[in-house]
Amino acid sequence: MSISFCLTSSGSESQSLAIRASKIWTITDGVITNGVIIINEGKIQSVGENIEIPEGIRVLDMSDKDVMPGMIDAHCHIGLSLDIFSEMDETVAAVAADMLILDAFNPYSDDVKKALSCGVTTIMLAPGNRNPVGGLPAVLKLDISKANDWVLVRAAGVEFSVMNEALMFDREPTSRAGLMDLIREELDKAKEDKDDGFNPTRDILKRVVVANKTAYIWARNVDEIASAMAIVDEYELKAVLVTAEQGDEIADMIAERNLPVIYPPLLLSSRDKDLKRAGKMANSGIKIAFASLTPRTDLHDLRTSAILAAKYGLDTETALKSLTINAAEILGVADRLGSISEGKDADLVILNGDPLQLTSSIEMVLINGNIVYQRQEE
Amino acid sequence: MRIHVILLTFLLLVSAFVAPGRAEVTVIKAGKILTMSGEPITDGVILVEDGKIAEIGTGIEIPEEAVVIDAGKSVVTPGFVDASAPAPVRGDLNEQSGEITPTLRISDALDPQSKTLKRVVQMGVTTLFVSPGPQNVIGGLGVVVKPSGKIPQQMIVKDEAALRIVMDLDATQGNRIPRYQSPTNFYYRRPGTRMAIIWMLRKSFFDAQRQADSEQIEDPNLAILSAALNDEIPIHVNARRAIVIRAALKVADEYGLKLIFQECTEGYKVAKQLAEKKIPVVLGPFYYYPGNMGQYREGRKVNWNNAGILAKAGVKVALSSGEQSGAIDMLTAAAFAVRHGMDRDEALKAITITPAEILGVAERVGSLEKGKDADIVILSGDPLDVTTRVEKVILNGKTVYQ
Repeated sequence: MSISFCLTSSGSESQSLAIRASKIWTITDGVITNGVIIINEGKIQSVGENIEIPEGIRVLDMSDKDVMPGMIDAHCHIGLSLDIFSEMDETVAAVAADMLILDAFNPYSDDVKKALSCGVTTIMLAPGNRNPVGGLPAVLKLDISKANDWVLVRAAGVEFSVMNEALMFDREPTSRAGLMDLIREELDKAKEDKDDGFNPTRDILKRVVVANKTAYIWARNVDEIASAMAIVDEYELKAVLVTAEQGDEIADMIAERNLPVIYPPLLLSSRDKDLKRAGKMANSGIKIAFASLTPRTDLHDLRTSAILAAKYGLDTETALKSLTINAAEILGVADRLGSISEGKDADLVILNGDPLQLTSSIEMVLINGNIVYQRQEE
Repeated sequence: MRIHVILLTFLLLVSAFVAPGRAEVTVIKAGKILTMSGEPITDGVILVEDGKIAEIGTGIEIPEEAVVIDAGKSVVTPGFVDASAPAPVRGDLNEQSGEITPTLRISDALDPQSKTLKRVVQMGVTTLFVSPGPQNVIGGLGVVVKPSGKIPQQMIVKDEAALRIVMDLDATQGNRIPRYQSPTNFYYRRPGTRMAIIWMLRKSFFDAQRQADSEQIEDPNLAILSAALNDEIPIHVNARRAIVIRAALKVADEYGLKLIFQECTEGYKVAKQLAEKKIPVVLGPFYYYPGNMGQYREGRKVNWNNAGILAKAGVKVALSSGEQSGAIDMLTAAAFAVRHGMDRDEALKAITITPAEILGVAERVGSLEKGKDADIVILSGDPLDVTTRVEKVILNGKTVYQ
């Protein structure tokens, strides 16, 4: 079996396309059986059961296959460099709010192709967690055939980290108390709104404190999540928790503050206790979206996380949402992505079975109505 | 039919659990209650309601719905207070990027899931004072916590409880440039010697004093230091050797600071001065783990008569674990102090009410009185007997160790 990629299909965008499928997992409107999706100019024109296919347009007959929206990886670090760990964090300075991770992205890397083959069509490319203030993440589509369109948001928020990983031995901070002190100091200065010349870091932090730009805060353990919540409360930030793995222990407090959670991948080798956490959090009313954190975890397959979570207590509907619409909402691109509904981008994944079955594999991936991946069997 | 049976059992179970829970009244009966605030009570009763002590004494009427813990002939004491406890923190305690970091709050770094907390509870400690690490001259703000709660904010009894100053040579650790090396590392800086430690201390308080004259203090570091100057935040000074204690007293005189000494292993040499100035001390453990770097072991030769001499001279003495996890438990420390000349009652107070007073939390913990937190330790016998063990620990009215 071999895998082929057709990244150069830009010519077909203006054409219309119809897809006939056995099941369409629209995410927001339930499942449509034996439905049709009509795509025009890269957008979904209509979707439903009894839709007439206009004459003369190309038809993809997938009547024995399932279709779901393209998956959104809510946090990953793909396409940066071969030596990923040295490229993710600008650790020389503790506060690097003005660093754009997009500047370091290589859209032609193998990682991107791997992600596509796993059904991921949109990612949040994020800096790592080794800086208290890490930089600006970007939201992008993995189809670079149309040069202007693939970057959805250049600077989607600011990354913070209150984890022990952000501590270093050769620059401040070296302790958790020092880390919190540093973040408070920076946010205080940003809030003060003093005009001290050209200071991009301060300007960007000002947007977080004053203008409610999203803060993505890395926090894994309970004490780290508590630290994150303390910062959120003090400065009234609009925040998202990243890798809040032990969040189920204080799920009520997270839900009370309406903090969405970007959840790290679940592995087949994880302990049962850890596999249950995602389900518990979702059941307490926390909005979660899965992230692969690749190449940190070496697991591109976002779907496996959702499948495992569903096996361990997450209901299937939420499991699918946490791969698609939840992530789109958290990243602020829900007007274009996350579900199969009229007017949204035609980013689709075609599988040969139920998306939440380990056995079903991905046959085809479309971005803006273009086929960007196709499984081939020899 | 089967469903009905299950339902019935379920209902019965629920009602069995709900009924006593609603009232939340616990009663502890004991042979002897050492209140630490007055005379011991024989065959007494403690009534606990909503985590507080509602009633204490003899001949108290026990409410019907109350949960009764009958401790039999056991001895009951208040939960112990460790005024220099091992920190329940993941990662480094020291912020090594600077020497003067008054705004640092160790409360930001607390880990409620820490194993340290479980261990101290087993020894009967229900209130801890945690401070930043000892490698900075002015390390930051300590916090008084209880070992309960899901997030750090729920643990805190008193935040910003004290400002930590270290005058021992610990503060110079790692600061010197090794021979034949260039000063490229951010560790290589002042202080490298004791004179530099005292110089830095003087300088910071000098800056704070000068800033205090201007109306608005912009630097948050100086704001904390001037709060300490105005006695709004207590100052805990780590000083082991007599020479360091004298130096600290001198600086304190210059700036009018009110001090509390920590560790104070050579305190007996300056007992008179300490008593005159009414400076309380929190003594470290009776045994230090041997360190690997000779110079920092300075002042760690413990004179076991220290506590007794200080107490007899009229100094307020609290016993603590000296931030060494598992080095010695509080009861053993008290027994040790008694063996080497401290009064029995005084030694028991030195692990309960005295540290609570020193930390400024005596209105909530430290003794068994009406209205205080129900932090109670049930012991199998005489507290100062070696064979006595901690049977049960009650924290805020809930049993946390058995």
